[in-house]
Formats: sequence, C-alpha cells, structure tokens
Amino acid sequence: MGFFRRYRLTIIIFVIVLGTLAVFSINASNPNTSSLMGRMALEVVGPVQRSITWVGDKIDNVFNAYFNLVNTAEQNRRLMAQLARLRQQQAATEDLRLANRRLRALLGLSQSKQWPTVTADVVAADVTGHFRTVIINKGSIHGVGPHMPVIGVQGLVGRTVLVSPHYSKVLLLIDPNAGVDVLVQRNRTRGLVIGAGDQGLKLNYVESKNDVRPGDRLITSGVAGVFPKGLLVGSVTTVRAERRGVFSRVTAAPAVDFQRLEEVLVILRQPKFVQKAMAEAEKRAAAPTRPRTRHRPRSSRKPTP
Amino acid sequence: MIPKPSPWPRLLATALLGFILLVLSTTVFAWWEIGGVRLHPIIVVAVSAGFYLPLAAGAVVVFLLGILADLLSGGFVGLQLSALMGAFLVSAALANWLDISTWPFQMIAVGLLSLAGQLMVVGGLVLAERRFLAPADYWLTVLAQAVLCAVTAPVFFFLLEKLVAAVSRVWPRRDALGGVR
Repeated sequence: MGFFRRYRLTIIIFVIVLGTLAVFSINASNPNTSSLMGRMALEVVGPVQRSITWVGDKIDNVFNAYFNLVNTAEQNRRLMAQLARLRQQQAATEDLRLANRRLRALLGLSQSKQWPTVTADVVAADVTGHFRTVIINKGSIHGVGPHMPVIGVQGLVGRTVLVSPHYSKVLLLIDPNAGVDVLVQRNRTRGLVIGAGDQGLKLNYVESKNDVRPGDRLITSGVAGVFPKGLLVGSVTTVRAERRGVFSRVTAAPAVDFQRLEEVLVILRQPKFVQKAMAEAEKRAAAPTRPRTRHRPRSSRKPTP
Repeated sequence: MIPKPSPWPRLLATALLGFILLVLSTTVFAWWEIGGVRLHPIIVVAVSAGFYLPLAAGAVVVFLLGILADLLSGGFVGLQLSALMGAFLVSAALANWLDISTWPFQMIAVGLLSLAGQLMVVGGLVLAERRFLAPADYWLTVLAQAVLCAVTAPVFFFLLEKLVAAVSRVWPRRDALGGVR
C-alpha cells in the first residue's frame, strides 16, 4: 500500500501513457473496434451538432433574406435568362440521351444504371483543421452504408466512412486520405486524384506524354468500384512536366465549393467489396458455433460392452 | 475545521465545458475558419484539468475528451488523444511550480501547449501516413492557430470558473460535522 502511495504520480502517468499507446495499437491492428465507439459518438454528439447548425442556419437565413432583397430584381433577371438557356440545353441533352440509348442497344452495350439517392444536411465539420470530414444527418436507417458516394449540386463531394443509425461521417474529396480514380473528360487520360486540403486536389500518375491542359474537366472513371462513372470531380488548374520521371505534376480545383457545403446527396450504391465483406460477416454470424468441449457429449458416446 | 472543497463541481464543469467546446469546434468555430486558422479551445480544458484537477480524475476527463475528438475527426484514433494527454501531463507536472490564475500566464501556457499539441498531431500524421507532407505555409497556419488559442484562452478560463461556481452553487455541501446541507 505504501508503495502505491509513494509512487502514485509515476504510476498514474505510466497508466496514462500506456492507455494512450493501447488505443493507438488497438486501432492500428483492428480499425473496426473504433467504429463501434465512433457510431456511438456520432449518435450522442450528432443531435447537439444538428441543433446548433439549425440555429445557425436560421440566423444566417434571416441575414441573407434581408441583404438579398437588395439584388433580387437583378438576380431574378439573370436567373430567368439562365433558365431559358438551360431549357434549350436540356432539350438537346434529352435528344442525345435517347440517341445514346438507341445506339447502345444496337451495339448490345449495357445501359448505365440510375441509382437511388437520399438527401442529407451537413450538420458538422471536422473537430480540427487537419482533416476534411463532415457529419451528415442521414444514417443506416435511411439506407446509407459505408463507402457510398456523396455528391453535391456541383459534383463529387466524397464518400461515407462511418455510419451510425441516424448520422454518417463523410470523408471529403479534399482530405489527404481521399483518392479517386479519374478520367480527363476531353481525351480519356487516366489519373488518380488525391486531396490536398486547402490547396484543392492533386492529379497523380499522369504521364508527361499525355495532353492534359488547364481547364480540362475530370470525371470519375468508375474503376475502383466506389464511385459510379461520370461524376464531375473538378478541373485541371496547373500542369508542370517534371524534369526527371515520367509523370507530370498536375493540380486541380474541386468542382464543389467545400466552404459552402450545406446539402448533399448520398448515392445508395454499395461497392461490391463492401457487399462481399458484409455477406461474409453475416454468414459468420449465422453459422452455428461448434461445441468447445474436447470430449464427446455423454449421449453420443458408444455404450461400453 | 474548514472542510476541504469537493473536487466534483470542478470536475463536472470541466467535462461539461469540454463537451460544449468540442461540439462548438465542429460547428460554430468551423464556420468562422479564416484561411485555415480555426479556434480550437479544447486545449484550455486539458490545461485547466492539469493545473486544477486531481491527477486521476483529470486524466479520465481528458482521456474521454481526446477519444471523442478523435472519433469525430477524420484522423486515426489516438492522435488528438495524445496531443491533449501531453498537454494535460505537462500542465499537471507544472502545477506545483506555476500559477496560471492570471491571464498572461494562461495565454503563455495555452499558446505553448497548443503549439506542442499541433506539432504532435502533424508529426503523428507524417509518421503514420507517409504521403502526408505539410506544405511550407502549413506551419504558419499552425503558428497562427496557437496564437489565436493563446489570445482567446483567458475568455475560456473565465467561462470555466463561472461554470464551476454555478455547479458549486447547486452541489450539496458538507458542513464541519460532515452532514449534507
């Protein structure tokens, strides 16, 4: 007892350091253990975050409603003109879509599938500025699952990484941990977009011999299985050929303005690798457990002569 | 004999303020981010816990806040926890030699420990994720954030003391004979 009293401070510090290291080690060896805690944290903190965001939005709306009145007439005129242009464009696009469908049917190619979506509000951002994640107010009870694509009005936003019953955490495209396989829309050059935080996006693995120019639009290639093909990711801003090496250094600007992200759509499309993993987990859970006893049960033993 | 004040009101107030600041960091403070610099006052809670709370109780509060911060964040679990625990342990070690009841010391303590905590986070990221390479202006942001934390620290220390006083008012007190009033 005297030992503990004498070395109390040292013991407590030792336990704290050991506990912190244990969290690191458990999480590194099995990330799923933290997902249960993560889901619980989302469920506990989510409603509070949602309430604060709701109040903030209301205050913001009051200010916006007042200040927007000043330019409403001018904005209305501009939007009407834009609407007329878009209607013409829509008619042309519809023609192209129908022609595309007919030609694909003639060639025997499969039709692109329309996935169901669910609308969600962004209720919170990341705790620190080091990462780029947001929390949305839709979860597994709304059909959202892990690794589902999230899009905005302007283009790709990111993918869900952690899903609780009512909330989900979305890894944004600009996070350094995010990666998307893309195509340059103009000439179908492939590359890998990596998030670069405030700097936007980096387009990696583009060979110097490929013709990639500033202004080129980047779309998802659909190769990795998470994102459907054809979602707008961003546009190329700078291209610099490296003196050594075969790849160019390409930067891009995301299509989405992440500073003003308020509403998103989750595409309810589970990647095949997640479906497979979930099916295996369900199979394991449903499988009858084998008896652990080394000896056969008494009833199954052969009667001794 | 004057009874020793119970540590529970301060413990509860610290935990409550920690939770509130954590939620505000993901909402209000995130909206007010300017050029990547964002108010991140949760470090004040860790520093205050180190200076004013019993070691074991303070460690539990900071540990829980650190885990919660990690789970709500995009990084791997343990990163924020280490930074907050580091700040807490340094504060606890300095508690016998330093008094941070005045605002200049509060600012210095929070500023330095915020800087150290952020360096720990960035260092952890570079070690764990090889592709994370901080650009040159990133360090300016880290420094600016530490300065912002330092400048605003007295406000949050003041709020914490008000919260402690509020909790103490409703907390049942023991008289000299040990009875609950």
